[in-house]
Amino acid sequence: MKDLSCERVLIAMMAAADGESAELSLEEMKAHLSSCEGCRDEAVRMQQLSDIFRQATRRESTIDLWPAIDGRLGQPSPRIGWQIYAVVGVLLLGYKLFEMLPEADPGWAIRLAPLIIFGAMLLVLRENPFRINTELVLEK
Amino acid sequence: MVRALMDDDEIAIEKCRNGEREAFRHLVEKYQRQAISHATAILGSREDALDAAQEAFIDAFRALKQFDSSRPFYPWFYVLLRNRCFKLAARKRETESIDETVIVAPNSTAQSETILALENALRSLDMEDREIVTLKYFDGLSYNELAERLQIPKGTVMSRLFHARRKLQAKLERVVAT
Repeated sequence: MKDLSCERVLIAMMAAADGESAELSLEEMKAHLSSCEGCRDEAVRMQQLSDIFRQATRRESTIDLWPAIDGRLGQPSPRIGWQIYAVVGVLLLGYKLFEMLPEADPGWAIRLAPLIIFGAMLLVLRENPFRINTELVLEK
Repeated sequence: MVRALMDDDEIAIEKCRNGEREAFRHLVEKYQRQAISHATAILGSREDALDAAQEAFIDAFRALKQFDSSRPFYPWFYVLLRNRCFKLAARKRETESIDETVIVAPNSTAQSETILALENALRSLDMEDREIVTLKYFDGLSYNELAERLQIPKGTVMSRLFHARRKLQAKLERVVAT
């Protein structure tokens, strides 16, 4: 019989104990356990942990979230969809087409239009492009 | 019975889609206990769990149009809930006292020292380990159900569960030995 890794046997034992289909047969597991003291000890510890869980239950909360959720749902959604980007895109495209007209000679005020459009978009989105994100993010 | 419960959800979801906000109450009241418990198990903090559950329900209400009504509500909602939990966890740090249990029920049949040891051992695990262990051993989800909830392959469920259990065993060693 080929040698099985301890981890593979222990995972198969865990699956069998959880009532799932195990990758190894019972005979294969038994054969490994008979010659591996470490896995025999581990099997006992696995059983002890299962026994502890059998006596424990999940704590449940009786807090009612509905009043807070109802209040929040009554407020207008702060989410801004794709429409704002579409409007800005169309405005910028329109400006570019206008600029390409041979006889168009926009004054300096009109030349500021893209900047104004972009600034207005940031204002609507409440986004500060100069903000440095200092939040730490956990690596997953 | 299960079919009848699903029908209730379908009716409520349909009403929500038609703009009846009050119909969402049915879903909140039906699933909030599970949601808070699951969020607590992930975050290890009841206060954070309440925030995450509330935000997840609001996310769900706004995303109901994309929900496939032929499927059960809670597994879909759970994905939103865990996303909220992981977002929240990225910003917050665990601050809750370890004097009382928030994950394990204090009235479990095990001795109180065992309950407290299990609680502390669970809290000292990584969020993902704590999540998979509690979903398996408190909720009794099968490996296939875990794969669906956690959006990972079944093989990964087995491996992750095995390593999470091992870490938990190590933390509980003292209690188990007695």
